[in-house]
Parts: sequence; C-alpha cells; structure tokens
Amino acid sequence: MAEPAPRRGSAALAGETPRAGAAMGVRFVGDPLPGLSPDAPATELPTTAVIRASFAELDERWAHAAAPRTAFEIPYSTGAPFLRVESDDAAGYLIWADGYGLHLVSSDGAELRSALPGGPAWVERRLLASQVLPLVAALHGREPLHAAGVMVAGRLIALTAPSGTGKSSTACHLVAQGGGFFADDVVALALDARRVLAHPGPRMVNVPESELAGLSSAERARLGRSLGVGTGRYLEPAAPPPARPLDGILCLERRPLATPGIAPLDDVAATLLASAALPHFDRPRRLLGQLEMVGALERTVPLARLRVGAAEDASRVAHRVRAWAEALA
Amino acid sequence: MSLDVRSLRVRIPRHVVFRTFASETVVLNLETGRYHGLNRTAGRIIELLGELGSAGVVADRVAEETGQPLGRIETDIANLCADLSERGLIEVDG
Repeated sequence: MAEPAPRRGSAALAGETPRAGAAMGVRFVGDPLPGLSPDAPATELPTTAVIRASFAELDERWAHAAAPRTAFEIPYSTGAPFLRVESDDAAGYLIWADGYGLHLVSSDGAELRSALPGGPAWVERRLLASQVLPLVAALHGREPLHAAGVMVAGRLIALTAPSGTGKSSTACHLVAQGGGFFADDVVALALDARRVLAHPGPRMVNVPESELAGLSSAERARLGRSLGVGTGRYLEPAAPPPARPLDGILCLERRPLATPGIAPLDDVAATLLASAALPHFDRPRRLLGQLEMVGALERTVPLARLRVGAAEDASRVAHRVRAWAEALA
Repeated sequence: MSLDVRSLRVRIPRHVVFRTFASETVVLNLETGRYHGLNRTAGRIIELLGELGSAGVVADRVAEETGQPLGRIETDIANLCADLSERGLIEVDG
C-alpha cells in the first residue's frame, strides 16, 4: 500500500511525544504509542511489544502471509476501501485505514508493529483507538464492549448504544459536569474471580462542536486539551483510573415516540452481544468468552435500558444517567 | 421438513454450545461464529434434548412441566427441531 498523502486541514500539535503505557488492560512496551495512560508497573497486565515501522516494511511482512483473508472492510461511497482488516492464522492481523496508518498485530497479540501516518494527533490515535488496541486487548483475553465509560458519583458506568444515539455526547457531558473519563468507544472487560473488571481506553474523545458550544469554560476544561478537528473535535481528557469493577451498564435507546424512562434490561444476552466490539473477531475462544462474560454481567452488574426522547439533549441525558448511578446500591 | 417426534432422536453437535440467561437462551455455532436466540420455552426444550436425546421423552416432560396438551407440545418440538436442524444447531435421526 502506498504511503498516504499528507493530511490537510487541522494543524499538527507541535512537539507531541508519544508515550508507552497502558490501555484496555494491556501494557505496551518498546516504542511509544500516542494516547496511552501512564503504566502502573505494580499492576499485572499482559504485555505487547510495540515496534514502530514503515508502511513498506509492514507490506513486505504481510506479503509472506500464507493465506490472508479479509475479515472486515468499510468502503468509501465510491466503493474504494477506507478501512480493511485482514487476518492470517500465522501472520496475525493487518489493520489499515486510508490516511490513518497501518498496523500488524501478531496472532497472539504479543507484538504490534505500527506505521503511524504523521499529522494531527487525533489522526494518529483514531485507528489505534477504534480497531488496533481493542484487537490487541481481545487477543489477550479481554472482552471489548462497544461502550463509553465514565466515573459518576464514584461508580464506573458503561453506556452502550447504536452509533448516532448520543452515547459519546452523553459521556462527554458527564465528564464536563464533573465525572471522570474512562473510555470513549471501547471498554475492555475481564473476569476477576466472580466480578467483572473494566479496563480504561486510550485518552481520546470525539465530541461534536455543537455539544461543546454550550459548555462553560470550566466544563470545557474538564474535557482536556484539543487534539484537532475531524468529524468532531478530538480531545485528550485526564488519564483515567486503572482497572476497576464495573458498577453498571446503561443501554441508551432513542426512538421518535419513546417515553423517556429507565427500565430493567430484559433481553440481556441479545443486547450485550450486539454491543460487542470487533464482531469480525470470531475465534471460538472469543465467542465462548463472550457468553461467559454476558452471564457474569447478568449475575453481578446492574443493567438497565435508558429510553431517550428523540429531541432530548445529551446534557439532560447525562443528568439522568447521574441520577441512576447515584441511586445504585 | 416434517418430523415424527415419537421416533426422533436428537444430538447437539460438539461445535454447538448454549447458555441459558434469565429470559432467553443463546445458542452459539462455533463453526459459523453465529449466535441464535431462543425464548424460554425453546431454551428449555433444547436443554432437555441435550440431556435426554429422545424428542418424544422431551415432549412428555415439557407437557408435564407446563400442563399444555401433549399434541401441541409435540407439534412445537417438531417445528423447533426442524428449524434448529436447518440452522445446523442439532443433528436428528428418525
């Protein structure tokens, strides 16, 4: 694959130095990656060695894959590929998105070779956050849940929802209102004895500019520094806490005629399985692990459905989430 | 496919696993990577089929548990087995 043309638009952040560290329950060592939290050496985490590479080197390595197949692809409207994940039993996983970099993950997740695209900080982090780090986490046995995570009233709450429902906007308002950032797009889960532990995501959130417009300067400051503007404004919040028990999951549902309210989640398995990140990663071990995780969540974590009115703004939804979290036993 | 429940024997293949949750049973086909959802009654039936193997014996048990007419239960089981077999989630003899 050819090196991408330099991106135009947002100014690059001068002097950003990527840092090695941890995200999604994995310790990344070796060459630094952007957006990770400082590693807590005392924490026992599986390790992935990071090696920065060139696009040409990764293409050359993948050319030797015995039987590569496309696991997942998102095309542009023209049909040309925008994002592609390829897999090979021995060679691992090749993850590419146009203008966002190229990454080769070993089949056991122990090694990550990354060709970052350069340019604005959010561009370098976006593919890592959405595809690469969740896959590495899954290969290390974490179960990636497509959810935002926020510390609210001292409790860790995961918000799941179909894309476009307002999950990220709601999470951002919770942070702006005084909550703590935990994850923007993927919460990595693990079973610890009989409870569900959640591992934080990389430090980046994407917020529509319209959501930021109504915030006070203090609220805006809680969301962290700007990493640039893409489809929304990308921000780097403060480093999240390390892994902690998951205290609740709220499934946001927005329907035109829905009466706002909160109800127990009655179709737990169907809803949570539909919220799994990386549906293309369907190794038997992962699928069995998903079933086990759903069972543990049903047994140990409060689960509810939050019905949101069609025109209800994210700030108000955030207040309702806070009220639910505060009422948890 | 029309199945005679009284002569039907059912096996759950090794590549099929199921887990029962509060309001549903999820059946996972490890070969295809696909999940299938069953309501409580169907979940109970597949659980019994896995234990007992004989669809006729399962029909008797379910009729006893639910108080529903045996004929109706047999029809439901025949339809369920036909559906599950078509999806590759059970193997049937008879």
